[in-house]
Amino acid sequence: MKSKTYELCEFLTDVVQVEKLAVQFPHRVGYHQSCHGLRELRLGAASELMPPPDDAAVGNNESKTHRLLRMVEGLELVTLERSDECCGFGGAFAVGEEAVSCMMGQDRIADHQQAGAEVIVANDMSCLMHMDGLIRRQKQNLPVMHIAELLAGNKLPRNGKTQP
Amino acid sequence: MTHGVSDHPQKAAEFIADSQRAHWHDGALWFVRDKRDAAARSVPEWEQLRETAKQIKAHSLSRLPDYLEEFERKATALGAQVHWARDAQEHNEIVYGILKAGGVRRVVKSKSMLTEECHLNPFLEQHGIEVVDTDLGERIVQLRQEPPSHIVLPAIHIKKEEVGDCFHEHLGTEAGATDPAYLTEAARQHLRERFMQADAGITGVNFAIAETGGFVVCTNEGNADLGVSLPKLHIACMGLEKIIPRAADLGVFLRLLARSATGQPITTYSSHFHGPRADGALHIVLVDNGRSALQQSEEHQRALSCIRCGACLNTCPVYRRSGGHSYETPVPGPIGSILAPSRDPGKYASLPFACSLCGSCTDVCPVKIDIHHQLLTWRRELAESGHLDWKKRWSMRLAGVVLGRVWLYRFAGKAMRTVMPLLPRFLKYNPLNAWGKQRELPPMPRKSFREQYRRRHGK
Repeated sequence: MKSKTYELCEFLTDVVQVEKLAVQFPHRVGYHQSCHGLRELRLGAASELMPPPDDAAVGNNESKTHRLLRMVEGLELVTLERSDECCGFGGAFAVGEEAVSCMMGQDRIADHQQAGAEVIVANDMSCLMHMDGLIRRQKQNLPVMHIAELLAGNKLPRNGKTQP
Repeated sequence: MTHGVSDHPQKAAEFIADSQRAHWHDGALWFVRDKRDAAARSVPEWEQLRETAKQIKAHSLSRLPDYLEEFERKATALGAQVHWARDAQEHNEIVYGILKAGGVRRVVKSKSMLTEECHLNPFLEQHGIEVVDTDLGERIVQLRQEPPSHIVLPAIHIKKEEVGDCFHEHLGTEAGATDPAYLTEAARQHLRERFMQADAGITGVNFAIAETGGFVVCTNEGNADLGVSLPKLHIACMGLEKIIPRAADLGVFLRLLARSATGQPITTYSSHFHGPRADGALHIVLVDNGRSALQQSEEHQRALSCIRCGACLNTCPVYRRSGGHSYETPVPGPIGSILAPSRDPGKYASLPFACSLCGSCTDVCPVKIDIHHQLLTWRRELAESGHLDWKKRWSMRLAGVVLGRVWLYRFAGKAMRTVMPLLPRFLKYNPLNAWGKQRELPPMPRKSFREQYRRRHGK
């Protein structure tokens, strides 16, 4: 089962071998690298690991999702100060260590805001649920989107509503 | 510190209540992580070095008794006296015995997490011996009568204004002084006096070499060297796991240690000791204190490879935001959360849960310990041995019941989607809802994915 199971972006880049996408998204996007995609599935190179000298792409902390995002017309990826820090969801951790979890999420959101992101995009719904919960409680205007929504051509959510 | 049950979530919440301070602490340690990244990047074969270090440690641990006995033989031949201590109590008594026999009243000690673990200072003080920690950070926390909060940067939780206050009270510096150079100079003068008066010096051990019987102590301040060069009696305390087979292996570890710890290419002083000086005595105390039990554990044996660089603390998003004292153990952070429950699972049961399982510690670790996977393993072991609190026990049991039955899972989902939108806010956001303290619940979708999929494909 493991050998036949793929994460969406991994499937698109490695199996379908997508080279082009007919998708427009003319916005500044903050990409959140979810930990389990990054450090368990190895969708990209974690910032802690040092690349072999001849692999520049890995050194840039690039992931399979980055490759797809670069195919989207008009999309601008913003540069975060901490490219792959955990958002603090962590399953039961989110309630068991509520204070730390929320501070971690808050710090991630602030990083995306200072970078000028109009939306936070991630491969992992639970990270997004956590950060979105914090954002909505504070009545801030920073929508979140799953990568599948963006790649399917959805528009930027307005007023908390998904726009197909 | 020595009694009661540790409660990381509570201590962490107290630390975070001062948001400005928590952010300052987070930033200070992220700065060190950044320096580590730059230092590691400067070594093209970094990942190869990590793999080599991991294998050397795994090999050493697999033949621990042989290498320790070889070390004892070689060190004894060099003129050192080697002692074996089963636990912290035995360690403390051995050290006290040596000091008493030598008529020692004043001791200077360089940084050693082992002696923290064994609570050597209070033990010696009870027996009328003065112990002065000579590492600057350690001296600061010693004067403030608190434990170190980090294994490499013991006073990282303290601001320079607070150091100024502490030195004003204990060392007589000017009130309100905050200039690091002025304060450091004051500490220097104060410590120099203690160095001159000391009758014995105690050090830790970073690496002990089986092949030669020598050992290496790494410091940035040179305090270990001065501490054992002035007095004639040197006691080196080391955990069993510090052994490496050959002198040639040292290069691997010294290159990794300083870069991982502080982002320096090499520790300022890497001091090699081979037997006592001509007119002095050298005692080496080898301490088990739970290590051989850990070595027997297939799951956690790898934690003994740790070289105490502190990189996993610096990178841990939880440690950075909760502070070292929230762990209530001599070695805090991710690695400490593996080691502490092996010593006392009841007391430290909250630590393996103080982790979002992000895995950054595992990728930063210079000896490639699978830290976050071990923390996950600990959670299972603590559950099986009945060490979880009732909240975790029952919520996990309930989740198990629901997730283990397809019909119940579907029914629960449908019930939530139907009922939740109808509930008034005060019922949803009650004091039992830890999620909703600072976060909104996700909006309930009208249909589940399964329902949408069925409708679309007519199945």
